[in-house]
Amino acid sequence: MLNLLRKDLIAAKISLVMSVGIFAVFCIFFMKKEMSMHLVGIITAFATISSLTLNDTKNHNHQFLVTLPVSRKHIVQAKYVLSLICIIIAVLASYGVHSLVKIAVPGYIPVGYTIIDILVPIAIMLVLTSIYLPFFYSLSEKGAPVLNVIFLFLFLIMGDPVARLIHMASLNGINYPLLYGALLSTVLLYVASCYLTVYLFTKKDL
Amino acid sequence: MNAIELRNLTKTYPQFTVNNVSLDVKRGYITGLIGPNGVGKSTLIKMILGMVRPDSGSVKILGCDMPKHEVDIKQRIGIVSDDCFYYEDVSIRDMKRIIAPFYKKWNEQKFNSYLEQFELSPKKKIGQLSKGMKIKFALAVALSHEAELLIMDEPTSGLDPVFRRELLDLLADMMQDEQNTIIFSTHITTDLDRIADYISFVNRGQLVFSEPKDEVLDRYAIVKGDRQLLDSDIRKKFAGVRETAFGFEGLVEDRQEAERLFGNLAVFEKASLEDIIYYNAKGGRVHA
Repeated sequence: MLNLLRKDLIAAKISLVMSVGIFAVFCIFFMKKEMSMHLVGIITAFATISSLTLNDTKNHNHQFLVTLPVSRKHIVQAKYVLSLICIIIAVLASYGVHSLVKIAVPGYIPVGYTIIDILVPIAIMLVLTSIYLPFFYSLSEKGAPVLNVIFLFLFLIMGDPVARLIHMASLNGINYPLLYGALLSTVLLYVASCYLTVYLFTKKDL
Repeated sequence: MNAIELRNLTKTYPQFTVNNVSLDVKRGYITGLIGPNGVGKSTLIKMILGMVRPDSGSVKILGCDMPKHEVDIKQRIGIVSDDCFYYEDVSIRDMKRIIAPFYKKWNEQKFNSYLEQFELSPKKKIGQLSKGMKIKFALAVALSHEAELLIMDEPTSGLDPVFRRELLDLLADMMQDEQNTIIFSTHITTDLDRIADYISFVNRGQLVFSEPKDEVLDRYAIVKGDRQLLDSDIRKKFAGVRETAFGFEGLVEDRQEAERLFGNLAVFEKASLEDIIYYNAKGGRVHA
């Protein structure tokens, strides 16, 4: 598992640098907006996950990976673990930068942040990744880039309304039992998605 | 003991079927998997490696079932293919950093000496390598983790004649250890003429034969003679016949039977592996 995570970090060095760039650009352009923290976290997380996955299909690299002493199950599980790490880092980085700016330049960011502002973007990304990865691993090399474009459009269309919804929810007070229930369901969905993807990828001919 | 045991392997595609193939690859020998392009050699190798899941049948490698023990099996095998799907954007050094930790018996010193021998710069990006250089890199990787079984799919197709000879020497070196085994899929039969011990011939998705090379070459023969010698019964004795205005030339599976049949009326020549592929692939009558 660790070797597969290491593999992604070496193979996707350039993509990871690009993710830092995307993070910086979106921070600069959205910082003053109410939903900036959520959008920057979600977009950076998705950009990183999609570049990490595309990196494996760019040159039919799954055909190389399955020749290594790892099972397909490990290949999929490593991608789920890495995606989770990317999501948490992207959302926390967004929270960290926005909080720092809020402290350094009081009044520049018009809203305050609570735990819900961290947990909900993570939950949204877990749901999206749970949908994205089974499709990615069952589609052919040609289908994967198309899937990424579809998800990118979905983000552009849905990103703003979802972020507003999060903001409104945090303003109206938090129903903690509901929040924790939703989070638990999201984690369970992510685990179930991982099992489904392992099943689909194991059956696939490369 | 067999290094690879295939039993009743079947895989059906819309326009092509690998049909009920059973094959034993003997341990300690080099087996050449021959056949024309597109007859199922690569599909067979992909099924052996678990890249393609067979519709039915079983694969056993080094005594272990695939895919049940695939991780243990892959520790003990090396793979060299003409399609090396490495990450194009990384350097040879980084690719090695990706691959090496997966293998328990990785030999860094051996790997570096192969890079030097093959004149591969560790700084060079994989995407900048020619097909031949990629195969050299794949070979360096395969030979650096003490693989007991080397599976090679068309490894010489992108190589110049100098390195092809060098490769055959390297394979011969590997075979100094009598426990090592090589299966070598190719349609360039001259390579197998030099090093193969066994030949497995695949045609139209089926295994035609799998026998010691010398027995195959002794058994098959090219028969040349006048066209008048051919009638419908005689034609059935040929795996393939090529007819010209001056006579015929055909491949028979049983040289002794053909000698009894034609006596002094025909000329008999030793068949090459290329002849065997050609006439079997064409089948029936071939017009020159």
